[in-house]
Amino acid sequence: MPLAGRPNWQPLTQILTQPGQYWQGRVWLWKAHLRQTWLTASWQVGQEAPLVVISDEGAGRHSLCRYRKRMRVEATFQDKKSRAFGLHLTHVRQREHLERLLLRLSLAIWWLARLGAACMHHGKRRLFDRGARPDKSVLRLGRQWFLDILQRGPSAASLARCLPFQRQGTHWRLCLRS
Amino acid sequence: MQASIYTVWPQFARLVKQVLPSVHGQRGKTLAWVVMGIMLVKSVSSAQSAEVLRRVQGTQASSQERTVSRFLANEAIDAQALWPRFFPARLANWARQPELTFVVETTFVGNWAILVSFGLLHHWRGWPPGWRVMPREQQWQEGQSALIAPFIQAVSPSAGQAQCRLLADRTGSP
Repeated sequence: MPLAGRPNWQPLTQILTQPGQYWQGRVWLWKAHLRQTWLTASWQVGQEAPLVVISDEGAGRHSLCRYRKRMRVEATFQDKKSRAFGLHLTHVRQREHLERLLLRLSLAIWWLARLGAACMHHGKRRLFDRGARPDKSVLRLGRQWFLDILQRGPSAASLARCLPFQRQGTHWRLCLRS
Repeated sequence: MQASIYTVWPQFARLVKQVLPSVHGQRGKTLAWVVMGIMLVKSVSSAQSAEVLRRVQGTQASSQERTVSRFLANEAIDAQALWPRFFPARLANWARQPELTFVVETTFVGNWAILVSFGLLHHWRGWPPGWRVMPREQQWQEGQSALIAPFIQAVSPSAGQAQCRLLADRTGSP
């Protein structure tokens, strides 16, 4: 329901009816849970359906850009599932067991992320990835770097620097660069 | 490599114990061990982890698989209670950022569960600060905002002065 003019409830499907259209403005949404918010709707040519984004930070193309950041998370999920950790193949069938499996997996992901970031920071990426067109994810780099460190077998102090968290004063910190 | 693993494992176990002082020492060691198992084999598969850990420890794969299974079945390990204790350590670097963007993502696990993940966007990825496992074929008792609320509450003290933004889809409950 656009705010301007008389209340005029209409389904979102009627705001944009064909590709190439765009609309933005302040609206009331949901009769049952009435909420005033900003709405941006865009139906790009070639897309099957419009993209509708609501936000409390205003409407406009910047709103769509911010939403598109959400797609970034897909890469991590692909790592969790088919690309790396095979979560979709797990035989675990109990919720509590899956929770503990995710605790393990999440710790492993943060640790590998820290190692992958350290690998790039130290300029070692080329050892494990194609130089001209690097395509390994930070997690894959982290694992290669981890295996390499274990193979080289440095001192205990050096190995301690590979741990996911480093103590700084009284706090622990996920350090992405040491 | 075996010697290095035996050096890193107790170091990591000590770190786990320091972050999670309430966790029994042996459970902390097992957690450290099974996390390293995932890192070594790049898989959550118990069988694959067991095979690699067997080679490292010189025991039978079945013994390692039982270790993993016992860990997963251990009711004394409350993953949802333990995981937030790592928040301050994980978010310390990001607290100085002017903006933090969090993302809610739902994904299917088999045909019985939906994983609702709460991720922090950084370097083109969503890093997992938290998750909830929800049933796939039953109506959820909680709405998406109720599921997200505890994550926001847990992250808030570690987020410093950063302006936080949350991106979510209107999807999830079947």
